[in-house]
Amino acid sequence: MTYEQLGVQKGEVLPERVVGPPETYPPLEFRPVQPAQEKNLAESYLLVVKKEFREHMQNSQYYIHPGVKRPDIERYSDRYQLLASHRGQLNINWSRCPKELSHSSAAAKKRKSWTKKTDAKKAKVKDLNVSEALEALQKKEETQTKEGVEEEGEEEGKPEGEEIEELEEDDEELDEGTDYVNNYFDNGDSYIDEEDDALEEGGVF
Amino acid sequence: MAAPDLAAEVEQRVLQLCGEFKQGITYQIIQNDMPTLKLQHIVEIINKLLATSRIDMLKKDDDVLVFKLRDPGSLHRVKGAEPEEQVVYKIIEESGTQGIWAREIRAKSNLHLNTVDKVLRKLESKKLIKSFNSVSAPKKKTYLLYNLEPDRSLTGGAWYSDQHFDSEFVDILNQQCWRFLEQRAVRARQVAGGPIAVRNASYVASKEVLKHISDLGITKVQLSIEDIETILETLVFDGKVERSVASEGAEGVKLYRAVTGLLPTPTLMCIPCGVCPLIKECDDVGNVTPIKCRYMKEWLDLEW
Amino acid sequence: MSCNLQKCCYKILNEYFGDIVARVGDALFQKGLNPLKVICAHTKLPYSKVSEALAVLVQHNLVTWEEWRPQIPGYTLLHDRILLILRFPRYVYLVREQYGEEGEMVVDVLLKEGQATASSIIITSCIKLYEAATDESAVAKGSLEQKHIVVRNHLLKLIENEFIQRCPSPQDSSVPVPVLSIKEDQLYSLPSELLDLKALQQEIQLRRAGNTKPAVTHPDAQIYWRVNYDRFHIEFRDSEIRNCVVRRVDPLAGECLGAMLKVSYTRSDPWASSMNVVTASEIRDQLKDLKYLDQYLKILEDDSGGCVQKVGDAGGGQYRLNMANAYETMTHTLIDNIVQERFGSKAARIFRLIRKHRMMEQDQIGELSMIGKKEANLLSYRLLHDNFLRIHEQRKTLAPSPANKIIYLFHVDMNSVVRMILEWCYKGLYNLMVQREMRANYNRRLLEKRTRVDTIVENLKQSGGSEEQIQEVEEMVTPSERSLVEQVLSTQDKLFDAETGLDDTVFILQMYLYYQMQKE
Repeated sequence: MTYEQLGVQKGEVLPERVVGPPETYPPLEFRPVQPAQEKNLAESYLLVVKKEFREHMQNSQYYIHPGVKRPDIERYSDRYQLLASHRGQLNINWSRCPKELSHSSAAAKKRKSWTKKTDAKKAKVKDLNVSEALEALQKKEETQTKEGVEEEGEEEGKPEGEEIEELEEDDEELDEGTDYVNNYFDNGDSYIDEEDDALEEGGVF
Repeated sequence: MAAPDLAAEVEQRVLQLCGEFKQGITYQIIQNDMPTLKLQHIVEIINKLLATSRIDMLKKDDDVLVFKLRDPGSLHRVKGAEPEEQVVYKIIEESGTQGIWAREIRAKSNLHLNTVDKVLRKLESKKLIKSFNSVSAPKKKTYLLYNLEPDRSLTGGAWYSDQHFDSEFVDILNQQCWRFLEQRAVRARQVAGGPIAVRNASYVASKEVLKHISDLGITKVQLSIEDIETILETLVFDGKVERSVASEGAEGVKLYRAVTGLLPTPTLMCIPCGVCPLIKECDDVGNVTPIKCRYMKEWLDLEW
Repeated sequence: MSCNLQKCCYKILNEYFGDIVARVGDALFQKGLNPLKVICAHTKLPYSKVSEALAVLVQHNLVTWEEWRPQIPGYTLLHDRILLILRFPRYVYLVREQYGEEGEMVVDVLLKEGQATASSIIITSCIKLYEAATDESAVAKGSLEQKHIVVRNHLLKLIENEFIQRCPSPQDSSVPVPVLSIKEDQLYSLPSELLDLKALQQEIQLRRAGNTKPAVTHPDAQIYWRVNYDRFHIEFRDSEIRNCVVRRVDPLAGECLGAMLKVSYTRSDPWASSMNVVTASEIRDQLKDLKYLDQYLKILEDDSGGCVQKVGDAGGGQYRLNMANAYETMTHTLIDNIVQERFGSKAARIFRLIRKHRMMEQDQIGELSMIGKKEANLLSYRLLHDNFLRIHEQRKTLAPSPANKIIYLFHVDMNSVVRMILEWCYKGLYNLMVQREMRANYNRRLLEKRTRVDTIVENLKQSGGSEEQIQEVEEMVTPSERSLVEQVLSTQDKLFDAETGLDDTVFILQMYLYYQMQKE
């Protein structure tokens, strides 16, 4: 807008011109409003709940930490972080998600599921294979980085006294997944359950 | 040349005619009245009457000369004045509180513009007339008699002093009206009879507000109902006052009452970002970032 | 998509779920519907971690999936829900007020888990309630035996009132891309056979005894529940409108409005812009005995910013609640307040003027606002510069001639102003979180030291340490450190409070936009 449009007359004295580069943060014309009254009960309570919720979530299994161990300095703070025994073991109902999430998730691998009666037999036979396989796996994990090393997830395992609330479907049987999954990962080992005929024919990509 | 006593008679007659025709008489009228009189004589008599300030000469729109009886009061005022001064003075006098421009004076008096200017300056120095700037024509000087106040419509009404908008005055009135309405609203809450009774009790007619303000005596300026209503309307646009109309007979009466805002201050305005002039530029890179933000620091560390 | 919203969502996910989940969420925000491998490629995170993150997001109702290619799922982020995390304390508080401690615990547990079975909700709630009650008298403990029944009852009530709803379940969980579905009538029904009270009690006792994974089965193991956010939003919305009425008139007027709402819900969709008609006699019944009801109805009709509309005279008066109008009026007030605090009361006056008159010429503004022409122009320009006002050019006549003047008309485009303010809110939230994080990091050592000391002192106290020992430990933190810690913590609190308050502003604006979109 021109000076005329602003209604400034010619020759009128304008506010003092600023000399030099303008301040990045010019002084505020209006400050933020101060709350008029003391915080009321509701507001105080909301604050408490918020902080508690936040703390809970950060210590919960849902807070995913990067898996890398920090070999350098053992920080003092490490001692006081709740040694989440759940770290790396996400305890949810995997049947309610797309299968690939449980297959590929390292966390889900360590899942021991609840066996149903009908599968008890199957389970026993699998057990041996599985526990050996798992041991080997665990060793492997220790030495390898996460990338590229993914084994099929779900195995019916013997309940290690670790039962969980959420029922896992017993159809989390070992299946090699789709070809897509297989082709993506270089699986040197495939723990195909021989009793499981279901070699799924997935689409080839 | 007419006989002296005849001349006196004619003078009297002319003056009588002027008295009869308050709006002034023309040569034609005089001739009609005294057909035997020669025009030359009429002119002489007119000139004498002018010279003695018994009559004034004016030029009407259609270029006809008109002669009017001179008010003896004003005679005193411009005694010793040149004829041009008298003419100009008369013209200005007639414009009343509206005032008149120099150019218009020239047209009416048929005098040369330079003459007019000179006369105006003289009259001003004698403090017989003064000038002001009308809001409708801010660049032209408008003249009127010294002791008159210019008409309100030209000065911008109560809100202008010396053609300068007196915003402080407006603000003071705004505050005072608000206070009056607010007090009334507070008192109204004590009224029994239900919420409508309370609401009605909080309404104030603009007339009453005018009286209150006038009684306060904060200003010498005579305010009108329209003026007060203008102020009250600004309070409506401040979100503090609500207007309603009650019908009383033929006209509606404007009622006003103070109201509470619907919402408290939003939290956005309790944090620096709400008032920050740089909010559009604020980003994670550059000089204006939440981490570098000076206002955040001041707000949180209370170091304004 | 809004950059501010994206950054805000990232920050929230980061705070509550960690960096990995935040990055996965961010990738989804940016790229939209995508399969796992694309997300991995974009985030450069390992497959396992991305899967985990997605699982967490799914668990917390923040991500859905669909079949992207045959048998391959594609994931979508529900970004609006991420913002709701900031609102969780409000949900909890509302339930506390309306349903008490047990109800509050139920919702609290459920919000923390995202989805859970009724059994696990009851069990976890009971255990937490026990833990909280150990500080109280033994009398209270006596009633703890039957706590699971009390909690179950609260859960049932919350479900019945639709604050909690059943999650859709996979019809066939053997397929790679399960399809979730639920029947309408199941949404809010928890049949009693789904809960085995004995089993619940058993598990609770086992857990309290220290058995972390008791082997107890429950019949409802595949039926999950989640919080129904929108139901809470109805409460917030109603409460807000009532507060406005109370401020404007008086508390009884608020009661009156509450009654109107209650009756309206018996026959209207609570999210409709305009509810169905209710009569004065129905309202009267609802209120039992409100003196001057007729007066209040009249006042509400006049003074509710278009929320209460009278549509007829039958039954003592027929009324209709118009929520869209209510939020329009509230939002106008909100924006006016913002202008006032940001530019001053004279600017606010100009803004209200222009809003009312829709289109105004510059000269008119100065005249009607009773602000000097120059000041009025300067303020108008500032409002224009910050996009609160817009200019519309109009030629005086259609004939293109040099004498043709262009008039500039100022006007307010409310919808775009609201959107702009909403963006500012998102940015504000982000900035607050950044500041909070920065200050926490900056003072981390100090805060940790204080925490450590407090823990040690606590342990000493519990194990019967001597006064001397306790004092010695406490002195490890110097007085100046102590006061600094206090300061830091109080600043954190200020920032948390601001976050919560800012969400209130967001809520109003979101409601406004919701109703505006309904109009279209």
